[in-house]
Amino acid sequence: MAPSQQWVEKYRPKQVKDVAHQDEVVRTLANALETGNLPHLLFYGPPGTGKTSTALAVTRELFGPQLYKTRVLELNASDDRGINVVRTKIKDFAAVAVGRGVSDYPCPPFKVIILDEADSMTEDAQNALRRTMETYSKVTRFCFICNYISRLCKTIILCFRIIEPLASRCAKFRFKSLNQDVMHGRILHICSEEGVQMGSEALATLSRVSEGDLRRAITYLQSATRLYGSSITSKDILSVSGVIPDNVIQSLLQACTSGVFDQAQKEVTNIIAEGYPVSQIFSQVYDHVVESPEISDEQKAKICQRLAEADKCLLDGADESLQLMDVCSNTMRALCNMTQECSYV
Amino acid sequence: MAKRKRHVLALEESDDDDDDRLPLSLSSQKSSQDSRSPFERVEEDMAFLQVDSTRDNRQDSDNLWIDKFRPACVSDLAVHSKKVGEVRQWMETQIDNPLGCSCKLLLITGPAGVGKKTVVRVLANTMNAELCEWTAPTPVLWKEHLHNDTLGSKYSSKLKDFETFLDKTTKFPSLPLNAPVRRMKFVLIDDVPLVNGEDKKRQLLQSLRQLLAGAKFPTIIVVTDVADDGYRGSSMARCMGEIVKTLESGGASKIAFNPITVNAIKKVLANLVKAKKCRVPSEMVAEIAQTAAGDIRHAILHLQFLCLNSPKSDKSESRRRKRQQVRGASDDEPPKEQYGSKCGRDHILSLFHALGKFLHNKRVADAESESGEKLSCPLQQQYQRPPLQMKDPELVISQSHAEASTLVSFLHENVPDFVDDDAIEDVADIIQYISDADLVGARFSWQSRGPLLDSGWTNASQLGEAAAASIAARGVLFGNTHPAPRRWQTLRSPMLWQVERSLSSKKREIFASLRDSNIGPVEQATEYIPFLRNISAFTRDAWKPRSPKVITSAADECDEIEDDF
Amino acid sequence: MLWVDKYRPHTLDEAIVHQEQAQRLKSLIAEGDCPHLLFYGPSGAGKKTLIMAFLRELFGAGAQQVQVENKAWKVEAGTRKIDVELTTVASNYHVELNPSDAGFQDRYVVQEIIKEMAMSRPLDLGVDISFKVLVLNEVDRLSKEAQHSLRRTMEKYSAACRLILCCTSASKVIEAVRSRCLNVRINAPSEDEITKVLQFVAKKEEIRLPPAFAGRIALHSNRNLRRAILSLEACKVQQYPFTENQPVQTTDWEQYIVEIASDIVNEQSPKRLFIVRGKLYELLVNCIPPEIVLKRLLVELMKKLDSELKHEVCHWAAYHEHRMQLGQKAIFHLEAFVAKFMSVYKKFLIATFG
Repeated sequence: MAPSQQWVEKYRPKQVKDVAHQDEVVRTLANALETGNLPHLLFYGPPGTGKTSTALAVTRELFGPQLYKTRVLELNASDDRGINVVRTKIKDFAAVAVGRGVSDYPCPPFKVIILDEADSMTEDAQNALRRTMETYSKVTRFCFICNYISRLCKTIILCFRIIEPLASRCAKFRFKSLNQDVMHGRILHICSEEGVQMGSEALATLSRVSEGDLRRAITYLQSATRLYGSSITSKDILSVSGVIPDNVIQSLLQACTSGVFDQAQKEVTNIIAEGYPVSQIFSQVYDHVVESPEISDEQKAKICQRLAEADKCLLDGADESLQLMDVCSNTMRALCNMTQECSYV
Repeated sequence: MAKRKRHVLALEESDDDDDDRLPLSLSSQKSSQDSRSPFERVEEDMAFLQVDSTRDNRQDSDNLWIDKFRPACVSDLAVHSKKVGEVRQWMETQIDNPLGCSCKLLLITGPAGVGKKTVVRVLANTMNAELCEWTAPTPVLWKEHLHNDTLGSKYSSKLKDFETFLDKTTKFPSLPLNAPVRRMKFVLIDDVPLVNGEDKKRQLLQSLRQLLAGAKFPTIIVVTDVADDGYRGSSMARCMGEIVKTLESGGASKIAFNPITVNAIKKVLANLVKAKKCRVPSEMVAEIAQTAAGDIRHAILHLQFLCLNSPKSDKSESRRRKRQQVRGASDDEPPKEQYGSKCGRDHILSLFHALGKFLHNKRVADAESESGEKLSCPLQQQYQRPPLQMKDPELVISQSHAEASTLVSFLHENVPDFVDDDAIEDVADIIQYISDADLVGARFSWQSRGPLLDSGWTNASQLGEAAAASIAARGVLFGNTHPAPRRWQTLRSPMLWQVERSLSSKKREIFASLRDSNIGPVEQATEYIPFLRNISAFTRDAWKPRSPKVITSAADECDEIEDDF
Repeated sequence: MLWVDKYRPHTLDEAIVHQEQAQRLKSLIAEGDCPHLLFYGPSGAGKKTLIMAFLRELFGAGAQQVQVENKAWKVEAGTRKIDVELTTVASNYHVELNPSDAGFQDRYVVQEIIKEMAMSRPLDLGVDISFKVLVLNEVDRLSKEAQHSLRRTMEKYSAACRLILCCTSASKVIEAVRSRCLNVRINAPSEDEITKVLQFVAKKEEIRLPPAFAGRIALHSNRNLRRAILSLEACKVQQYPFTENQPVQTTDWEQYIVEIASDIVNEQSPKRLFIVRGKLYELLVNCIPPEIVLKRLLVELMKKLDSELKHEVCHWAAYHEHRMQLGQKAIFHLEAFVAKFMSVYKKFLIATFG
């Protein structure tokens, strides 16, 4: 049995110009590739929009497969990236002088350190990193990748601002969320390569559930193919994506509208027994509530506030059924205009 | 007998060896005493009985006032005359009627530094009775022990020594009676060895029991209370408690000394000041007496420290600064507040004291609070409370030296008793605060352990501890708006500890019973075990109902069946 | 041997419930493509049974010859070394362990131990499968750091090793891990399915099971198949032949919670709270997890309540359970809930009846 390859890896763009939808980024980087001069990079944007792929493709094109290992250090969230690693591993790598290049590739005289998911690094580590950046910026380029720039430590951002005027060697790129056409294009390409049949309805479902995240879309596609063979329907996509069927959400909201507590409780018990992830329920209930024309703004506000709180509680490890129950009870009170406050406290 | 011989051997050997500290200290004691001891004929082994005559020791320790001004007669004693009387009475009966007393054991208990031993010494002195004191030999350090071991001498523990001593006092009854001077002899045991572990404790108790049964001289055992300082010394306290209980149940009389009153201490200090002719203002003396918490030994030491002359000149910066302070103290007008508050014995409240303060929730009566200061921003009626009749709760907590989790557990355990039985709302609030305290404590001790704060997490967790204790104490004070009518209430020690202990052993049991990989521990506990109990309760199968072994045997059977497949 | 173990399906074909999922898993094997798998679903739905059957399908009967071992690992955690002891269940082809048992050191367990295991290839290659399978239980109880490490391990050693993850709530597994696995949701069997299984067991045991009684057992099981079968066996021991209205056996601790609930409703006072505390302690000592106690207690209390009060009570239950997860001493939060309930209930009674 051959080890299966993830399609996400298999169809990762090999060259910068293959990166979908991020035209501005591609243009700037293509220019950098021609001159062989790469600025410090900061990529940010929603997941699955090609940040990591771009970083990998750029470095690969710069150094070629031979030098890639010695010139590029890739660290992501699952590596240990505490302050010790910054002090030792990163610093050591950054400090080493570069050797000669290889023909066929630009091989500029510097190394690249890619820090994937930089926003999950500890603050101490980020601060330590800043020193390293300032000291070795001549021989080492840093490439930060993160989802939210606001989560990145202030010093790093400051660092970007400081270096910027000096060398104009810093570039911030925002990666846009992929629109449906681009997504369809990529998916259909993979489908034809892999011999997968997919109707337009299934395609629409796939792009809906993956919410502009191409990586997720490809993963769903591969999972569906594995489980259900080469002909994929919309239902198959739904089942692998873990998205909860609409009717479940509908009946839950209906029970809330009815104002009968026991009915809501029954729905909750059912959902838990079916094993649906409650965080997913929350996000779908949220979509429904926000889009619903029948619910007043005040009601929406009340419902969403509790949803947000409950979602945080889940992250803290709270019990799913109790949180869902509480959300339902709160939603019911909002929808039926019952009093929100606890009356017996 | 064999052991004792070996010990003697060690003594002889050690005489030539300077490094050999334990035996050396023993032998030197022996030789210095022998010249003065009235019992020169005491056999070698009796060297353990260090004969103490207070007056002889004076020259050696001239520089300590507690030794120098050790009371010589009963009137000098600061101890309450009633207690002295009790001890005297006991001793007199022993002298008058040595055979008539059923038990020759007296137990004196009390906190440190209240003069327990001094009373015995003074009384023995006035009655012209001989006092044989057992003091523990210098403890052997591990290093020394190793050294000794290579030299062939054996380590003998304190407990062992103590046993040997007791053995002797019961085995050689005739000795003092045959002595030419018909002085009554008392044995004073000051230092009951502390023991760790059940075995050792049993051994100790056994030898004490033997002493009870067979003591030939009246014996006085002095035990310093340790139970007072809360739960931290609990294992020690428990051990001591057990010793006291054993002795009492064996018929020993018991006299408990209380801390010495402030006035008595003041009087003693004033006499000292007069005797030494040092100029210490009377307020100072009063303050020392106040802060000594009934410990007269400490009070005297403190006074002596205050009256110290400045040391000889020394050029180092730190010494000079210190000297300035000290000179300041010995000058005509020592800074008043500085010393009393700084050098005073830490006013240690016992944990129970602190708990009592929180639980009883004493507040200023309504009428008085009206006149009190008004808050700049008035609180809503439901959040207003009359002022507390105590120091800041945080101060009380820090004086109690209790860990936050201990304090919280104790408060949690006892608080329902202190709230009026109609006021469940109050309890709900209080428990809520206690759960807040748990959260705060958990938050700091936990998250800081993670990668976020590599450095300085101890500070964070200390802060969390302090905050947790404060929340719990203040929550109990604030929430309890309907305190239960005051009555005598005992404090329970938290059941939670017991629960946690048995829970962890139960958990281990369940983990051990998990032979089958198909179920996790939770399922095992909530489904398998309860149902197995049901199933096995009715069958005549090999399963024994309701014994913890049920599961293991069941699992064994399963395995066997599987093997057969 | 208990019926619940005796009639556990050993192959994917034997499965009575979750036939669809079983067939999918089978086709996955047939295709020769085995991704990392994540099984999630409520307790007693049959996750572990399916996993074991899947392994058997993959490796043959050898996968069922397992050994239980208590292994101690020395793991390097930053600058210091820590000792971790874990129980593993292993055959020649797979290793199963519960990394969350390592407590807050779980991160290192995941990083190091799994790496070590993943690197060692299976010894006996009776089948032409070049990888080992690692079954990890309760991944939802792993810390976030540990889950991140897990994700890295999955990528790094995917040639030599496949992971099968098993958990109750998928919400607590980070997206990065979920998206790298093939997610298999195992829902709790419906009451009809449970009845079917009960009848199957009864037939094998050659006992007569009245359908109505089977239905009642299924109803009482809360869609937990394991419970239903255990309960059936307990009922049989208690009274056989069955009658349609004989009591369904439940667990003693649940009875106890019923008792506690009526204690709470009957009197609301500090004294009563103290009594309830003692009973809660007893449950905890018997290793009933506090969150399960709280949920069960809520259910019992709800039965006695007016719907007006239910909203409030269920809010407080959720509130205190959440705090219980964050705190250290579960009893404080459990009791805070009980005290709150008493207070609310008393005020409600006063407001209603004066």
